[in-house]
Amino acid sequence: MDAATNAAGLSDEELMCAYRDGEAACFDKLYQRHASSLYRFVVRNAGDEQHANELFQDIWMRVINSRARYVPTASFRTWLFSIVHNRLTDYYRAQARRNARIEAASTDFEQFSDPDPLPGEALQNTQLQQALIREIGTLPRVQREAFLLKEEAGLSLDQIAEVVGSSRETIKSRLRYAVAKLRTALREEL
Amino acid sequence: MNEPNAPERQNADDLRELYRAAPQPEPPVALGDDIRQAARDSLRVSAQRGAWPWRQGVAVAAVLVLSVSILLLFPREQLHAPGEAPVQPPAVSDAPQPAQPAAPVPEPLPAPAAESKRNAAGKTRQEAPPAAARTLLQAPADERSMDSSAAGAVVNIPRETATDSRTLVEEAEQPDVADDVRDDADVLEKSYYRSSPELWISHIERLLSEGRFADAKREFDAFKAQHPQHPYAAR
Repeated sequence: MDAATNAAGLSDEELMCAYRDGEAACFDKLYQRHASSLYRFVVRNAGDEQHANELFQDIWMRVINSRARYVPTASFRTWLFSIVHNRLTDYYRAQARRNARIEAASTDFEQFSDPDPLPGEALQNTQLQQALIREIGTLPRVQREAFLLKEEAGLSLDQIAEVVGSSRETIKSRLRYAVAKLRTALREEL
Repeated sequence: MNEPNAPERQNADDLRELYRAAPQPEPPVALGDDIRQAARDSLRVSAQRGAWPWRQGVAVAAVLVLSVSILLLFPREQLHAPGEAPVQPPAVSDAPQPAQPAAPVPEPLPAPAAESKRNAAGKTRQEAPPAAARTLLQAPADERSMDSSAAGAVVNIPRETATDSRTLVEEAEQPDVADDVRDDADVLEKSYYRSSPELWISHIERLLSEGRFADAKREFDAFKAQHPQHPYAAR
C-alpha cells in the first residue's frame, strides 16, 4: 500500500503528525478534507474571491510553515481555524476602514427580535439562498465568524470559543444575534 | 454548560438547511495544486537541510584553512616588490656533511629521528635569516657552548628540536662547518637584499654609512648591471 492509501484511514491529527515527519501524501489528504469548508469560510468572511484566494493560500502556507511546531494538543480542525482566525484578524485590521460601516452595526443588538422559523418552501428558493449568502457578508465580523465557524467549519461552541479566544457564552450570544439578523433579512426578501 | 434549547436549535436548523442549499464555492484547482506543491517543496527543503548537517562544519573549516593559508603566504609575498619577479635563492647543496668523529653525540637517536634531524638542519640552514646566522657565529664561545640541560631548561622545546639546535651549535663550532654556514648565510643575505631594488639600495647605503666603500662599490656595480634602467643606477 502506498502512503496515500495509508493516509485515508488516519485522523486529522495523525495526518498532520505524519506530514510533519515527512509524508507529503498526508498533507494532500488533509487538504482534500478541509480545503472546501475552509475556502467557503474565507470567501464568506473576505467578501470577494480575489482576497479570499490570497487569504486561503496564505493560511495553508502558515499550516505548512508551522508543521514543525505542531503538537496535537487540540483537534486539528480547531488548530487550523485558529490560524484562519488570526489571519483574518490581520486582514480585518488592514481593511478596517472598509469594514467600518459593518462594524458600527454590531453595537445595535437590541434591534433584532427572535422571529418565527422560515417557511419550508422558502428553503428551495434560489433567490433566498443568494440573499442568505449576501446577508452573511453584512453580518458584524464577530457574528459572521461565529456563524461560519459553526456552519462551515462544523466546530462546537467550545471549539469556537477556543479559536476566537472568547467565552462560550459570548459565542452563544453572537450566534443568536447572527441567526436573528439573518432571519429578519430573509423575511424581507420573501 | 448551556446548549441552545430546542426552539433555538430548530430555528437554526432551517437556516443551516438554506445555507447548505446555497451555491458553495470551491477553491480553484490551480490554487490547490500550488499549495500542495509548496507543501512538498517545504518537505524537500527540510530533508535537504537534515541530510547535510555537516555542510556548515565544512564551510567553517574551509574558511579557516583558507585564512591560515593566506596568512602564511602573505609574509613571503611581501619579500618581493610588486611587479618584480621573485628571485629564488640559490640552492644549497644537501650533500652529506663530512663525518665528524670528534663531535660528541649527546644522545643517540633512532634512525627516523636522526633522518628528520638531518633534514631539519638542512632546512634551517636554508631558511634561517642571515642576521640570526651571523649572531650565532659571532656569539662568544661560552654562550654558544651551552650544555644540553641548560638549552632544554631555557627554551623548553621538544627534545628532538632541542637536539637539532644543539647539533647546529656543535656543527657551527667546527672550523670547516663554520665556514660553510657563513658562506650559506652570505649567499642567503645577498639573495635577500638583491630580491628587490629598494632592498638592494638600502644595503648599498648601509655599506656606505659603515664606511665599507669597496663593498658598496662592488654592490653598486652589480646593481647597475642588474638594473641599468633604474634611476639609482644613473648616479
